[in-house]
Amino acid sequence: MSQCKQIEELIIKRSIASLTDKDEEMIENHLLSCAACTAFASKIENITVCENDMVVSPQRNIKRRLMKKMHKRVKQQKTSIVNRIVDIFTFQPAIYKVAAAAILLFLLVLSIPQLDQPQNISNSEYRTAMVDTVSLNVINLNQIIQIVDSQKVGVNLSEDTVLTKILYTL
Amino acid sequence: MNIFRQTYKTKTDEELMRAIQSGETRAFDVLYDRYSRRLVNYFFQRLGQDQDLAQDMLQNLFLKIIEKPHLFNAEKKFSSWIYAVASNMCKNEYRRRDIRKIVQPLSDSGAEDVIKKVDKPDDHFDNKEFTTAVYDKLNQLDEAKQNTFLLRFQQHLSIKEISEALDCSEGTVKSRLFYTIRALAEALPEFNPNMR
Repeated sequence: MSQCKQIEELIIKRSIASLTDKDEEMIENHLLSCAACTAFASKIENITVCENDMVVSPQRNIKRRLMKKMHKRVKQQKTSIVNRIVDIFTFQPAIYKVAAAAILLFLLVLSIPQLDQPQNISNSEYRTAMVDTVSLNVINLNQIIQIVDSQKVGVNLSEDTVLTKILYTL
Repeated sequence: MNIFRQTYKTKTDEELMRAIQSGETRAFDVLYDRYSRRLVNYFFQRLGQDQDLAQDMLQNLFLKIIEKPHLFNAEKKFSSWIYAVASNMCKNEYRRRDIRKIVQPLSDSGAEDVIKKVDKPDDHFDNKEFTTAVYDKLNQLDEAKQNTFLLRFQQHLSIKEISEALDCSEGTVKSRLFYTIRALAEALPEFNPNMR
């Protein structure tokens, strides 16, 4: 292979990836004395440096349309959170169902409005109401009611532990 | 609003994509601005310089990102993934419209990559004409070489990114680029704008 052919190949390779120092030096030395290879190197540089090639700009209405779609998808995603909760009960293993049920029950107990005024209602009324609704152990329910009524949830560790145990057994 | 946008601007493509997956619209805004111009020009060159088609393809590509963001594999580089999708869209479009008949590329083998030489005399080539001639000649090459050349020199992807996008080895990418550049160099006249 003539030296010019070899240099031409190296010039092309150089435009794709970096060469070794030895090859770089070889090219530079050759270019000093070879006009044809210098022209070739210049041509390769112009082929690979396409400066004027970004000729098209994206239309503005495309972005507007896409952003609308994106907002719509996000909305749908938010509504599907409810579906996900339903999925937990439908598709997940039993342990998740039990945990989710316990959390929901805990929230339910906390949100019963009567619990705000315990002095007006007797324990037996609570008992009947709760047993009718969820058929739970009466003693445990009374314990929950007492703890929640005394507003000591999160204050007394031992009582919180009792509450956790009760919820766990549920 | 701008402060939020600024925060997203510093995120990587992959982080933005994860944010899009969890429904953050601003992340999409930033990612679109980052890639839309490059991609529309990529489609423009790949699809016979049809501007309307390029715009449609750009819209369809980003629609895919909106509707099926979970298709992005977080282990892969986003740039490789998006160009892989774009490249496949072009292939489907070729099939659909039989665009190959219009551009009439030559055969796949390197030996047959002899492009018809440009008729214009050397002296009358300016910079813009030269670039146009490069793309005209490029369109006569087979699709794989065209694609590899555009991804490297128009879209400025690394060899590794191209190999991931086109699902081939880095050696194949380098070899395609070598034969493409050589074929273009042989077909184009001597040109040195610095000497004019």
